[in-house]
Amino acid sequence: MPVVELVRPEWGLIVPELILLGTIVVVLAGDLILSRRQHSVLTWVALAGLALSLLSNLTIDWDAGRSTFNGMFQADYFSLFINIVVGVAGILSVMISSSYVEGGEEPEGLPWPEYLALLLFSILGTMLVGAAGDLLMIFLGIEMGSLAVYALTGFARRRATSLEGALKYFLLGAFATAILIYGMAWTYGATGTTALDEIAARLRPVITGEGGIEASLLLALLLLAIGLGFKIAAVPFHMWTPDAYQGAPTPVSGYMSVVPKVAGFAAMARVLVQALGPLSDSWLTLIAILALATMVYGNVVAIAQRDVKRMLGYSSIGHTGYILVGLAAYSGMSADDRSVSSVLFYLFSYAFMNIGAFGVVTWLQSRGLGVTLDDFRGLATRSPLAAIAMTVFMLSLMGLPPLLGFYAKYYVILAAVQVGLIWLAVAVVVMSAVSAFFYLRVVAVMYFNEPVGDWKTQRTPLLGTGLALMAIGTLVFGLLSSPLLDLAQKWVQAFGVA
Amino acid sequence: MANWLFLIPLAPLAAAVINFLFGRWYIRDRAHWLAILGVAAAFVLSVAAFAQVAGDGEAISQHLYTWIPAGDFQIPVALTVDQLTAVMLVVVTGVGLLVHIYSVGYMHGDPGFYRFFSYLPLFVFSMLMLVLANNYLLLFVFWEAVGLCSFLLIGFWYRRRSAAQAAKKAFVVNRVGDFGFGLGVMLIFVNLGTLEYTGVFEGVASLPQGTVTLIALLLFTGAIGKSAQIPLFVWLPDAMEGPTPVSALIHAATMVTAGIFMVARSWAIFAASPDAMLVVAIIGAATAFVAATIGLTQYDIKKVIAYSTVSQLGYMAFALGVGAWAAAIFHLMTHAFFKGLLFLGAGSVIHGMHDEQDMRHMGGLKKYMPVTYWTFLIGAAANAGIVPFAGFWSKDEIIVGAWVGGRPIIAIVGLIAALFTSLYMFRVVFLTFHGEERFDRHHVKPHESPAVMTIPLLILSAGAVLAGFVGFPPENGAFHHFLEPVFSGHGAEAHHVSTATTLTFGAISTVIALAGLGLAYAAYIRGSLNPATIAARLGPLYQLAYRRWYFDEIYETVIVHPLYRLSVWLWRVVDVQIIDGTVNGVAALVSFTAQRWRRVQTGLVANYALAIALGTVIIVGVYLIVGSNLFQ
Repeated sequence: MPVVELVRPEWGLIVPELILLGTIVVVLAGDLILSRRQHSVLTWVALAGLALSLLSNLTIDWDAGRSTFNGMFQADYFSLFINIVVGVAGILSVMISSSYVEGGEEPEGLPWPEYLALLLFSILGTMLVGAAGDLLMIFLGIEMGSLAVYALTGFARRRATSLEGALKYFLLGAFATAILIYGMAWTYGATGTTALDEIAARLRPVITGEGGIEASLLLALLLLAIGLGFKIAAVPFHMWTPDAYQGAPTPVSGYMSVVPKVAGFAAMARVLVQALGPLSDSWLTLIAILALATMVYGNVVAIAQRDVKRMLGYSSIGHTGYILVGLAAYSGMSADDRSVSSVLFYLFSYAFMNIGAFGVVTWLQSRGLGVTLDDFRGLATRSPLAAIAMTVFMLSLMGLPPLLGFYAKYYVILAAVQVGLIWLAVAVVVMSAVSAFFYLRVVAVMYFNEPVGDWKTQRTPLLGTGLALMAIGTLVFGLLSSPLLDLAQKWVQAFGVA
Repeated sequence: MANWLFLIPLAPLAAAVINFLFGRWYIRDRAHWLAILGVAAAFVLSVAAFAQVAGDGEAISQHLYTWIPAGDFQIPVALTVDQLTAVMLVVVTGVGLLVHIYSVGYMHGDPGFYRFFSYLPLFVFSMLMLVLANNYLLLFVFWEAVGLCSFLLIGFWYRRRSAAQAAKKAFVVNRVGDFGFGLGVMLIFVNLGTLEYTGVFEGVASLPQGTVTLIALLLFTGAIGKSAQIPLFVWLPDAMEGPTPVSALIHAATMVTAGIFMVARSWAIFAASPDAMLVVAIIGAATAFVAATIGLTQYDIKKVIAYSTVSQLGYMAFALGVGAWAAAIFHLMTHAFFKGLLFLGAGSVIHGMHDEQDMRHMGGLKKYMPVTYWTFLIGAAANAGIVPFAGFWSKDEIIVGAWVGGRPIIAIVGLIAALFTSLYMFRVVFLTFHGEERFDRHHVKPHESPAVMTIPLLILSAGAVLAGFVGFPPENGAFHHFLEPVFSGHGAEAHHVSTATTLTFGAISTVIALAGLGLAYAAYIRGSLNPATIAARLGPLYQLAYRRWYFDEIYETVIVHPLYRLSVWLWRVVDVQIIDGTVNGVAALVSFTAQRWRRVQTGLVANYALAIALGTVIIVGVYLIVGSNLFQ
């Protein structure tokens, strides 16, 4: 019998993804085999799987920037950085989730193995987006991540607010996906391909000619930007965010404020820069205006919130605005273009400080308190270490040197200034000042007010360790920002088509 | 390259951080173990670094990472150990280690025990980074960190009002100097485009004379603050409010030496400006003299030693000013031993006397605390410059340096100050340990301190006896040869000192020191001179010294008081009415807007979807209108 000749994919390039997939299978199998009491074993399985997946990045030769599966999958420095960010965010999310989900903060408790599996699926999806070499892969990765997060948002199924948030998120998400896929269809129609590099290659001759771009291309571009704008919660496509963040179980809020955002920004970088880079004149203004609107809206409305989860929801909209500034600073593929690298570095920083902030809220909840500003009163006397951690996160989100958040903002501003977007850089600084109002308010009530409500002593070692790691990371990575930035700067090599 | 250099500062830092985070709940009264271990590790590594530098004769360095990469403004965090740094490392960690061990006994039972043992290694860490830095910005950062640590430690007993005041005073006075130092660093960067030592020293030659002088004077302003020179020395005596081991650390190893070190480190800049050198020399000599006169008149045992430190720092400064670089560092090193010894000895006395510090209530303690007495006597002899103790060699060399450096007047001022030094040192010894017992024997039972306190005294006294011999023969000792590579090049000129000069000044110094001793003996043991009558006869001069030359009073009336009233005005009028009014107004406006916008969030999915759809339509529409010919 003749052997059918198939193109053998390079399995070596997708080892991190494969390890994660294996972990998911083990977790799901464990759900069937283990009794409820033994479920906590799976925490370690998931953490080990994530750590292993993160470590396996070392086995790949990123310098080569090879692709496989017919160019669907690219193993380059950009995907490496995304792998690092989501891997770290995944580990931190599992650490802050276990006590909440297993500890029964929600009515009737939540099934931990399913939670873990969904979380890992969403991480896997985001890694695929980071490594996507084709519009279809981007779509698949985003949907894989989003569907898991929709389910996670409504995971506390006995609580109406959780279901409400999930339903809104899902309906609007489906709507946005439709816009995104419509944009992809138009792109295919206008260029005849869905491969990112190929799109760029076909666009380049079009641009060099006289006159503007075709209307069909413009429409494709706008629809793609809008569809992805929903995923990162840019104004005016942000409306789902506060409801979803408030309704979701707290650790999920922390997780979904980071990883789906990473997916969205990774897709934006892949689509707008790698594929549609030649059209940058057409999308840069849009991104800059979205950035301004997003940061102003998010930061201003956050002031009015008393619910800390909701406040962090709006604040995350504000941060989306800052990150968009980095993207808006794209100026072509030169070696010192800091646009995408500042975005990547910001995402990395954001994972630490925002998951950390939600982690402290989780910490309070597991000690019988609520999630409003009043529940933070006098935290400094009840639990000084938690108060210190929260202070670090708040100051970092605010952008105080020498914390990680400062460097993240600094590099974004630097990128903007380099291309002459002074007004946008000024806006970032002004909005940071505005944001001080609601971040410092949390710090103030923790230290200057007397505690209210009952405090029940509780041991949550994994959550505590996670918070400590994030607080230390927020301090240390700030001082060590330059090697990370050097790594992020290699996006130029990854996208290197110039 | 030496990839282990980072461990030197890391060890005390780790101890400080761990004690600070976990000390209160878990470590508590075991905090000293980690701290001592950390500083001991730093000491061993420092000795290793010293040995390597001494063996190879070349500086070793380690680049850690680039701290601020912003275009041309590249600030590396790199550690460098050359001969100068090697000496400082050993002094800082060695004296630091002994102070740590001593503190175990001294601070025993204090409720802030863990806090003390997290600040103390942090202090050592900051000082280590200060001497290890290879550029001015890093130096400046840890210059400030040292200031912060001194603030924390001087105000350690912060519930005591005077301690809090002293800490504040130390911090504010230092800020004045730091401001000048900061300006100097900026001026260097503006003119030379780099802050790394090697680049700066090479570039200095190309700068105009005026600029170099300005840079040197601004840098020296920082040293005036940190190393307690006239007119900013007022903080140092007040810093006695901290626990005594802290005083020892500040005076001997970690803080006041920073200014001297910095000027020595920047010697290429100073050497290029004769005017700046003259200013340094004059201020140094004036400080040495003024502080010595004040030291004669004080009764608080720690205050006398504190003014003695100010005076000795004056010697170091004028040594720098006359270009006797190696002699300044030599004196810094010997001073670290005997001043650490004197403070720890004074602490032992205070400990044994149940917190009595006034020498008028002491006397005859020799028989109660023999170890403290003998070690203190050695320290005093070293400070007074009696042959052959450590202080003699280094001080003599400074005075000779001034003489052959063409500044005879300064050398003579130095000699006069030396007479006072010997006098006030032995005054302390005689008043404290000899004569009749002037304390109430029913309430105070003097006792010798525990071994954990006396052993550091013994070790330091060995240093106070022997440290001088590394500089023997004068001007040509092992110490000078070791430091030679640092202070050569960049147009350095060596003065030839004849043996005759050396011997002559050695003899003069010895006679002067013994004269001081004799005067003190006559006044406080034999009673043939009555100090009270002499003080009365000197009248206003005595008052001038006793009132510390009225520096504090002048600052109080001329600066502090007007500043205070200005501050109150700024607070009541500018801050509360103008600034707060504006800020509150803006906040109210933003808050109002926020409340309005909040209503947009209706919670209805249909509305949200409408927003997305409208947003899409508007964006696409605007693009089509502006960017296409559809509507034109």
